[in-house]
Amino acid sequence: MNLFADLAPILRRLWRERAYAATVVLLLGIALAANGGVFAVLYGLLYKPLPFPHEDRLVTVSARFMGIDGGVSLPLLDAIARDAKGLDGIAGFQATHVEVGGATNAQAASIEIARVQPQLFTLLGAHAAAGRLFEAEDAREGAARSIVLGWDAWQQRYGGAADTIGRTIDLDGEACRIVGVLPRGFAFPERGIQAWTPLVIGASDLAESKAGSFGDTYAIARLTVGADRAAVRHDVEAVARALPGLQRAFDEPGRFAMEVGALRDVWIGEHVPALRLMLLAVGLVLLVTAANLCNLAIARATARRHAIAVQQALGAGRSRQVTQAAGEAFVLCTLAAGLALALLPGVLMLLARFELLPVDAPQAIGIDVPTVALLLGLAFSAALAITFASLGSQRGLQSALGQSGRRQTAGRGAQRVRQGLIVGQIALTAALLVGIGLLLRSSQHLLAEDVGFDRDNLVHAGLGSLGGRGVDDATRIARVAALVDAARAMPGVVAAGVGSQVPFGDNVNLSSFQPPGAAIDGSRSPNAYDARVDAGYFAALGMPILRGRAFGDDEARGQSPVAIVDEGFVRRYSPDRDALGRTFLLERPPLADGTAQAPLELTIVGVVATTKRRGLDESDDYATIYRPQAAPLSGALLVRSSASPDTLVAPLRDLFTRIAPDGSPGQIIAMHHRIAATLAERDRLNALLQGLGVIALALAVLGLYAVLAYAVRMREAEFGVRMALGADARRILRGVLAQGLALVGLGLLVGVPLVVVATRLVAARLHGVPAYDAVTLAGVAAVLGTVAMAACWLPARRAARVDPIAALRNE
Amino acid sequence: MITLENVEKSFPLAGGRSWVLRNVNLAIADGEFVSIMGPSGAGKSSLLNVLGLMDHDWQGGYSLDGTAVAPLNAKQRQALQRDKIGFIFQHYHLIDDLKVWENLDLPLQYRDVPAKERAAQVADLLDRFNIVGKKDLFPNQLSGGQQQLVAVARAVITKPRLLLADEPTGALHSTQARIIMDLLHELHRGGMTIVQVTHNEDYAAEAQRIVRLRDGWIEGT
Ligand SMILES: Nc1ncnc2c1ncn2[C@@H]1O[C@H](COP(=O)(O)OP(=O)(O)O)[C@@H](O)[C@H]1O
Ligand SMILES: [Mg+2]
Repeated sequence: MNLFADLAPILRRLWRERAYAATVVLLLGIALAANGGVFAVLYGLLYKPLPFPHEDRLVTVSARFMGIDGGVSLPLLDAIARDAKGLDGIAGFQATHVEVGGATNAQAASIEIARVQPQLFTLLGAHAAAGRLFEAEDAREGAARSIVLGWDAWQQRYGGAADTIGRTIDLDGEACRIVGVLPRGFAFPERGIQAWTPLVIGASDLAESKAGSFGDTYAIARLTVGADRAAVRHDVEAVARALPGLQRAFDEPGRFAMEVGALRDVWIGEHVPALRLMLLAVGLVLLVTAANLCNLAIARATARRHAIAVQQALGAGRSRQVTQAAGEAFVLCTLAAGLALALLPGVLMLLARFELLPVDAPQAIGIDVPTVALLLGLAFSAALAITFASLGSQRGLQSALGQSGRRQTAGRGAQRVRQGLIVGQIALTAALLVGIGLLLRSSQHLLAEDVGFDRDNLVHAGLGSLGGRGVDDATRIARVAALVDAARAMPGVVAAGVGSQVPFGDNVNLSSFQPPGAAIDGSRSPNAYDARVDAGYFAALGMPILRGRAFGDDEARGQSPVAIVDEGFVRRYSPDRDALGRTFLLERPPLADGTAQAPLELTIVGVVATTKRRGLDESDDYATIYRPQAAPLSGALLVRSSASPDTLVAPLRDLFTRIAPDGSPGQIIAMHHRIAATLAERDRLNALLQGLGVIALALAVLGLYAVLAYAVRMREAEFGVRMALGADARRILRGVLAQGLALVGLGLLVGVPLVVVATRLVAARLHGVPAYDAVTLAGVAAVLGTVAMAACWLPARRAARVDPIAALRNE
Repeated sequence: MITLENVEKSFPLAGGRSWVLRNVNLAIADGEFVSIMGPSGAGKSSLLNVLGLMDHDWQGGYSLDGTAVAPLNAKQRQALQRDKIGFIFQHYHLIDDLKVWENLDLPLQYRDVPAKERAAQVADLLDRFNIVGKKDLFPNQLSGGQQQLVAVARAVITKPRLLLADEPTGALHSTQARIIMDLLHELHRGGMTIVQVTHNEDYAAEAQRIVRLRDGWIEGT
C-alpha cells in the first residue's frame, strides 16, 4: 500500500498552506469539542450504566406532589415493602446533616450522612472494604447505634487505620460504633455523603398520622426480573390508595401520584432538558462551521482550478484529484478530532462551571467510547463534506483552461454551491437565534412578573436555627420577638415583620381546611398554604390589605382565631359572597402522642393579593391562609429598608449573632437577589446559549462576507463594464448589498421551518412569551439583517471602487 | 466632435515615468468614422479611455462636442459620458447572468429611463438588429458574433453621438466580423461618430481616416 507515498505530498501541501490547514483544524476542532462535551454529559447521565449490579432493574419509588418529588412517608414505605408486587426489595434512605463531636470543640464539624435501611447496600451490590455493612439487627428500634464510614472519611479522619473498626464516633451527641467502611468511590445518594447510619423505623413512625408526611425519606427498589415499570407503578399506587391516612391525598385529582422511575433519574434532575437544548445548539454551530469549511474548501479549489487543469492537461487522472482532495480533508479532520479530544476536559470544566455537569452522579462522567465514536463520526462526515465540496467545484475543469480570459464565468457553479451553503447557514443561525431570543424574552418576562408584593428595598433574613440544642421554645420565641423589635429600631429600616413561611422562602407548610359554607361531611378538604405571620408582616412585604384589616399586635400575641386570606382563596372558595366575616375550619394534625385535635374555626378579617410562593413561573398554586402569630419559630424575618437593601445585610447578621449567639441564621439577602436566584439555572443556560448564538452568527456572517468578497473579486470586470455602460458607484454598491441581502432573505425564508422546529423545542420553557413572538422574530431578522449588511458592506464598497479601466484591462 | 490638444498620459515608474500618450493632437469631426491602428501597447486603448471619459488622469486639452472636459468634476463627466458615448469591447462583455433583452435594458436603467419607455426602446432595437428571437437567451447561448451584435445594440440603445469600439472584431471569424463592420457602417450612415481600434488593415481602411499610434505618439505628426 502506498499510503505514505500518497500522504507525503498531501502533508507537504497542507504545510505550505498552513493558514488554511490551521483554520480548518481549529474551527472544526472547537466545534467538535463543544459537541463532544455536551454529548459526553448527556450520555453519562442518560445511558452510561450505573456502577451497580442489575442497574437496569433499579428504580426509585416516590410520590409526586404537585410536581414535587416528595419521596415516601415511612408508613407508605412499610406498606409498599409488604404489599407491592413486582419488587425484589425496597430500601428507604434519608440524607441529612449531623454534628460530629471531636476530642475538642474545634474538631466538631457538620457532615453529611445518609440514614439507610440495611438492605440498601444489598440492593446496590455494595460490599464492605473493611469490617461489615449493616444487618437487619442494626436498624431495630433500641439497637446499639452503628455507623459505616465512606472511604474518604476513613482516610481523612482515621488515616485508613485498621483499628478504626470498633471505635466510636459522636454523632449529634450520641456515641455510634464504627462497624465498617465502604469501598473507595462508593457514593449514594450523593457524592458528599461521608458516612451511613441505619434508618431506624419505630412503631410511632408508622402511625396513621405519619402516612402523609413526605419530603424526608426516599426509596429505591429493585424490580423482579421481567417486571414492568408501569405495572409496578400501578400496583404501588394501589397500595398507597389503600393506606389509611393517605386516601385524602388522592381527593384532588392530578395533584398526587405515585411514580416508579429509573434509578438514574435521581441524578438527572433538571439537567437533561437543558443539556438537550445545548446539544442542539452546539450541533447547529457545528453545521454552520462545517458549511464555512466547505465554503473555504470550494474557494481554495476554485483558486486552484487553473493549476489542476494544467495538471490534467499533463496527463494527471481524475483519481489523482480525488485522492488529493480526500486525503487533505481526512488529514485535517483527523487532526481536528484530535484537537477536540484534547479540548474535551476543558469543555467539561466549562459545563461544570455553568452547573450543567451533575456532580453527584455515581457514574463517572467523562470521555467514554461513545463520545469518542461520535467525535470521529462527525469528523469523518465533515471530511466527506469537504471532499465533495472541493471535488464538486472542480468539475468541468476541461474548460477552465479555455476560460482563463473570462473570469466572470469561471467557477459559477461553485459559487452557486457556496451561496447555497450561506443560505443554509443563515437559516440555521436564524433558528438558533429565535430559540435563544425566546428564552431570553421569557426570562425577562419572568423577572417582570408581578410577585404580589414589593420586592424592592426588602431583605429576606431566614430565621435559621435560633439556638443550640439546649435552648427551649420559650427562649426561641423571645429571641424572634427581640429580633423583630431590634430590626424595627435599626436605622434605615421602614418596617419589619416575620412569617412562618414567606414568598421565596425555605419553608412551605400546607394544611387541609373546610372552606366557608362547605358541607361538614369532611369528604373533601382542600389544602392551602398555612402561614403564621405577625402584625407587621404585610407592611414589611408592602402588601396592601385589599379588603378588611390587618392583624393587630394583640391578635398576633394571642394567636386569635382570625385569618386573612388571599384573592386565590376568595376566587376559589367564596366566589359569590363577600369573604369578610365568613368562617371556615382549619384542620390540625394529631399531636405528637397521636391524639387528634379538633379543627380550628377561623373568621376571615381581611383579603390580600396572591403572591408567588416558590417560583416566578408558578401560576396555579394553592390558596393561602394567614393566621396571626407574633413569633413563629421558623420562617423568615422580612425587613423593608429606605435605602439599598444590601446595606442592611451585614447589620442584620450582627443582630442575629447578638441575639442568638449559639444559633445560625438562614440566608440574609436582598429579596430581589433571592428572586433572581430562582432563575439562576435559566440564566446560566441562557448565557451559554447566547454565547453559541453569537458564535453561530459570527460564523455565518463570516461565511457571507467571504462569499460576497469572492464574488466581487470574480465580478470586477463586470462592474467595470457596468460603469462603462453608465452605472455610478452608488448603484454598484447597492447591487452588491442587494445580492448579500437576497442571500440573507432567502436564508430567513428557508429558515422558517427550522424556526418552527426551534420554537417547538423551547415552547415548554417559555413563560409569558408566545412561541411566535413578533418581537423575537422581528428582532432576530433585524439583528441578522444588520450584521449581514455590515458583512456585505466591505465587499460592496470594494465593488463600487473598482477602476473600470483596470478591470477591463485585466481581461 | 472631438478636439485633443497636447494630451499626455503617463504612469509613475521606478526612477521616472512611463509614457502612454505623448503630445496627442487629434481632431475628429462630427459624423466621422476613424480607425486607430498601432502595435500592441502603443496606447490605443488608453486613448480610447481618454476619449470615452473613463480616464481622467491625463494632461492637455479635450473638448467633446463643444464641452471642455478638463474642468468637469467626476459627476459632470459621468453625465456627459452617459449622454454622448457608447462602448464596444473586443470580448463583448455582456453580463452573463442577464438575458439578451436585460443586457440591452441595462444602460437605460442606468439613465433612469422609465420602465415603459425602456421596454419600447428595447423592443425597437431587438427588431432593428434582428435579434427578437434571441431576446430571452443568455449570452453563453449565443455565438461570438451574435454576442458582439448584442453588445453593439447595447452600446447604441442610448443613441450616443460617439461610438468607441476597441477591437470589436478582434475575437470574431471573418464572416461574423463582416456583419459587425457592416453594422458600424450602417450606424455611421445614421450620423454616428465612430472611433474603432483595429489590427485589421482592411477593416481599418473602410473608415474615412486611419490614425496610427506608436509608443504613445501619433505617427506622421
Ligand atoms: N495601469 C497601468 N500602469 C502602468 N502602465 C500601464 C497601465 N495601463 C497601461 N499601461 C501601459 O500603457 C501602455 C499602453 O497600453 P494600452 O493602451 O493598453 O495599449 P494598446 O491598447 O495599444 O495595446 C502599455 O505599455 C501598458 O503597459
Ligand atoms: Mg488595447
